[in-house]
Amino acid sequence: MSASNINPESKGMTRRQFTRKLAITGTAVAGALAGGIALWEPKHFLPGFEEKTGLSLPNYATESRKYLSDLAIAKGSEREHTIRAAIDALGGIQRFIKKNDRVMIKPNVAFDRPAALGATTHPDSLRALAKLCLEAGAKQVIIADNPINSPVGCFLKSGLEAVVHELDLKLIYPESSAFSNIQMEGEVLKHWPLFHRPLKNIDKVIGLAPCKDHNLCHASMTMKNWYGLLGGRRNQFHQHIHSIISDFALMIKPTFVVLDGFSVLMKNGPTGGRLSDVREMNTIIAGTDMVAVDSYGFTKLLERDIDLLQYVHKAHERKLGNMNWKDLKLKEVQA
Amino acid sequence: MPVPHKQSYIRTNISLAEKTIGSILLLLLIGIGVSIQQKGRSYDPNLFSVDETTLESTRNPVLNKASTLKEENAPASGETVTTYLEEDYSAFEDSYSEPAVIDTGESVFEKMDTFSGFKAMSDTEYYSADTLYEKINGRAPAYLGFNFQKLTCRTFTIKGVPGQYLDAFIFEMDTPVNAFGIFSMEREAGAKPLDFVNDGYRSEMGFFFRQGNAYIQVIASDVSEQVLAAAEEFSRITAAKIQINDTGVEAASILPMDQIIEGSISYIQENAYGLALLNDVFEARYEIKGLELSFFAMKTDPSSAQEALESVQQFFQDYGTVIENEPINGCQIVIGESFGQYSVVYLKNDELGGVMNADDLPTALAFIETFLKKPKP
Amino acid sequence: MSILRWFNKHILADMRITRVRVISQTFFFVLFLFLVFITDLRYLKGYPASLFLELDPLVAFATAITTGTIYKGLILSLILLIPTLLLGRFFCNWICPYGTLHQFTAFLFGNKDEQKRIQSNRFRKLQGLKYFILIMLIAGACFGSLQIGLLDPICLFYRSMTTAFLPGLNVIFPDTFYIEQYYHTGAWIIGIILFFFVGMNVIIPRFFCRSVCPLGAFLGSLSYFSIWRIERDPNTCVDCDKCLKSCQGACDPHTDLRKSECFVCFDCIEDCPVDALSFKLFPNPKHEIAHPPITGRRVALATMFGVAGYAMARSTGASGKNFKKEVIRPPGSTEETDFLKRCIKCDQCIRICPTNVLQPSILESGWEGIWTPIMNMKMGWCELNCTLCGEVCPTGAIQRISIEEKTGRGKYSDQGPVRTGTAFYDRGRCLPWAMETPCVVCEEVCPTSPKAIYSREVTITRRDGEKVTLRQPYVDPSLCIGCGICQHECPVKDHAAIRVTAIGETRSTERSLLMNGGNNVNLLEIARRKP
Repeated sequence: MSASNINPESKGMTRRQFTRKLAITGTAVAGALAGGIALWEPKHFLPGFEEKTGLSLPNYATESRKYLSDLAIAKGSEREHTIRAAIDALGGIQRFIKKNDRVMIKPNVAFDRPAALGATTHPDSLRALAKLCLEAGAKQVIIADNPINSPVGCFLKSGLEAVVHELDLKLIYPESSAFSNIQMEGEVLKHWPLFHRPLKNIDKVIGLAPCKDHNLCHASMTMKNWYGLLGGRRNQFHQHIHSIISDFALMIKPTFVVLDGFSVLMKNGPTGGRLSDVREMNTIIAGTDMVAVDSYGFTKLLERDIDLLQYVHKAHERKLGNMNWKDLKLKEVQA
Repeated sequence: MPVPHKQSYIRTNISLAEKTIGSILLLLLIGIGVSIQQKGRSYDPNLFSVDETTLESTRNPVLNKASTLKEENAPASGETVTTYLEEDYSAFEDSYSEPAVIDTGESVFEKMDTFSGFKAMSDTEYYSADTLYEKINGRAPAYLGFNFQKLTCRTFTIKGVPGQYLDAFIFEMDTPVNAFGIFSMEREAGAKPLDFVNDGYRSEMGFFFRQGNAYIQVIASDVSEQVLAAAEEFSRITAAKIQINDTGVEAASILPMDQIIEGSISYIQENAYGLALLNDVFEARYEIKGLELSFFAMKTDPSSAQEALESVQQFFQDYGTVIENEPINGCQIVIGESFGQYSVVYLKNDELGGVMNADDLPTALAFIETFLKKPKP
Repeated sequence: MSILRWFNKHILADMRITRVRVISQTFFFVLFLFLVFITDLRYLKGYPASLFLELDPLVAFATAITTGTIYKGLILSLILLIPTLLLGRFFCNWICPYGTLHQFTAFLFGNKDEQKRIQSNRFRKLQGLKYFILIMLIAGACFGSLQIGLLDPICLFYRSMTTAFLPGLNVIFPDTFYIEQYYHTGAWIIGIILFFFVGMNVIIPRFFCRSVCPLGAFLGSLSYFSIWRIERDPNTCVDCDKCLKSCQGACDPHTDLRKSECFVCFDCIEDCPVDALSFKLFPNPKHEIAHPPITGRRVALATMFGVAGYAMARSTGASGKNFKKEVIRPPGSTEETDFLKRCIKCDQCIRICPTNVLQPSILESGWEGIWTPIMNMKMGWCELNCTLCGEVCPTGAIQRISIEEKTGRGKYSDQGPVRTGTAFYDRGRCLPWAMETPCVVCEEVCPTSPKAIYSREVTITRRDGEKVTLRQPYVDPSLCIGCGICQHECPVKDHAAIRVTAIGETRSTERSLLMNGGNNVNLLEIARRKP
């Protein structure tokens, strides 16, 4: 390089330089053209009306057994024994959980409440159920919920996080990347973000719900519990609440469900907030048909008229379950 | 000119003091690190979650905060909406005169909001046999003895009477007889009977009555006439809404209330006094001038009643003596004596009753005379 | 023995003080980041999240002026104050994480040329600016307007991390810091300020520390009393000015030391080829300029600016009669004027808030309240059984109330819960009220018992002739605590049909809604309370 600003060289470029330059520039031009054409999108699309696809959940239910009951009602003084008694009445945990199964338990932890207020799944119930699964040889037990209140606080304050640590279970928080869209033909529910991460590679799914009053749909029990597996704009569900809840019975076929009727939230549901809202009823309902379980819970625990509970009727009509719990093979036990 | 990147000079005379201070400072940093680590581990979990002992303060229910209200002017959901004017009693009367089949106290209360001047002030509370203690404490065993099923209670405000309210209790028993049982056990002697139900009375504080298999208490917050009038109105509406079912208790209303010993009414299903034909009998005891009397009554069809009377007469012929007596007020009378005790039994159409096993005949006879001559309300 | 020998050879032999200093800076920088990171319900446990703010003597000093007290952990600031009186402004180059950030940026991106570095590290008159700023802020504080947090390095750095840096990082690497992405209004302004001060290091090394930092000015003023300082031996000195090559404070170690500017970094000692510099106890007082570089007239001007600034900001009425409905302070916050006396805008509360409801206010609470926390129910809601914001607040702007006190349970059941505002329906936007559509999500999520939101069931005939039974919701102001979950969950997302405004907050009698907080609406209830 010369220090001067004026280049004294007067000759033009050589032939070699010329070909080289031409090749480089030509490639750039061709590249720009090719790239442009390759990326060209000549058609428009209509935002919000694209064709939607999504996953669907496998059937987690086990086969019905001829001689084993499908609905168990256990009464007792303490949760763990009573849950064991209820599961035993269904034929024991081995009926459902095989060795090396990966199990997902879905508690209802929607609010940041202490367990005594009856608004969330009780830690003793979770402990009992998780222990049963582990005893049956489950490889891993995953706990997950997408609460209404902030997830960390909900799991902490309900006491479920402590159980997760105690039994070395796996807690999955509803992180943004844990959702995938589900696609189904529900009455209202068709395409919706599903909290899918905890269900990945899962063999068995158990619903563990408290028995609660609900301001809008009258009761939140095992069917309504699956609300916590969904994400997105759930606050629109309330416009068709009964249809949505009956759609849950279509969306997921759990291995079995447990309805915890020890501290029943009789009023001010689903949040509760006072001990005066809670009634001790010392009952555990377990069953393979969540429609029947809810139907039993509504009439026998919440002691209300089943006519009010439209979603159970809808699910029954759609043959997603049997609301006439008396028709099921049922067993009542005292723990 | 190249720029020197490396330090051109390196100090080498590092004094012992400098090394010592440096070491102390590093140890200090380690100390800070460790103590922060330690502090992080120890904490009070109540900072982050609720101390469950503080929940005790929430054990009492909060009154007067209903969750879902029904539209004031509309009947239950889903039905055709008709608007009732406040003073339009025709609709009111309609519902009044046509008792619906009510299976729960809840629906009684619900419709209360709809047609009358009473407004729910609290949520409806329910108590089952297991929880009845919570509401009425020591009185519960008596109720349970009569096969108590369910208690529904609620507090209502009274339109136009601010600050006053009514407490309504509906105790549901398994049968009307048992409802009568608990009703009669709690009955206040000498209270004024009610005209709108067979079994009921007005006390100082409110209205107590039995209708069907329910025993209802409507207790006023104040003894003023205005509030008691409202309580009566409320009781009438409630009574009208519960289906009349007197199966088995027809005879109970016969028992006179004068001089009755409180809580002495009992129901004997069969074989009263060892007599095979005295069934479905109501018995009460009375205190008259220091003497105790047992009076019973039963209701059946006239021929059975006649048969029963004859069996009583036969009994005394076999095991004691029969003393002849004139009919009183047109009623056939049988007086019997057995083991020094006297019984006076009367027959009035389908109604059989009398004093059994009294120690003193004149008192027993006088009692029956007074009873039979007294005009029925 | 061999360990000791190894230790002596490799560690002790080269244990120069500047190396210890770098370790210390790294330690405190990492500690700061660690404490920022653990300010989260998942990790907080017993960690002293506000340690740096509590150590900050300016925070303690300024809040002591405004409130007349030193709140809880702020007493720790004495740990820094006392050594500063003896040693000088050592905090700036040994502990301050923000200073470390600037030093590191200047080291990475600053000039490498020795001569240019020497020039850039000479004392500038601009360094007097920070004293001007400090005096303005303190003058305002004397009247009860605490503004040191705008520029105090710990507050500023914490705020930058909370509102701009961590959420930004979480955008690029999702699910690292938050379960659900956090958003903060006006985060970009705070981010740009961070970029500006960091970027300025390329032009003037440690521009912020030397010329802006009010904490530096405060500690610089305290350095007047120090009995140790860097001392130059004029007889040994060859006037090569190499001591300026790495000088952090631009305090002129090559001549009479400007004591108030020296960061006690010891780099000058390290760089002196003739060992003319030393850190000396009771050095020759003639070799120093002890006074901060600001004249008395400037002090007077700064005081006037501070007082006038306070007066102008206060006269907008933003903290008084003209308060905005959006200024919904977190539960446990003190009454607004007291809040402005205490809040240092560190935004730790915003970091710890589990629902993202806390947002740095921009001008909602007036010029004085810039970056103070307010609740924006569109972003989140106030979790019922949660008092984390008060837990981490170092100055008591949000008092460290317990869950029991907040919810009015247990011992506090007679006084009732802390209320932050009141919810109001906008019936024109509410689905059951305006659009014949069932909804009442608000009632479902209302956390109080009995629920503050109740509904009335009505049967209406829709335009298609179909009869529909739906519930129209109402608010019971005697029960509403202003948590705003109703607003957050309302399906009318963009401008909810139920919105919380600040009225009815229990912290201020001026802003109450119901007489006695609504506790007496039902005297009957009290009369009928079971014994």
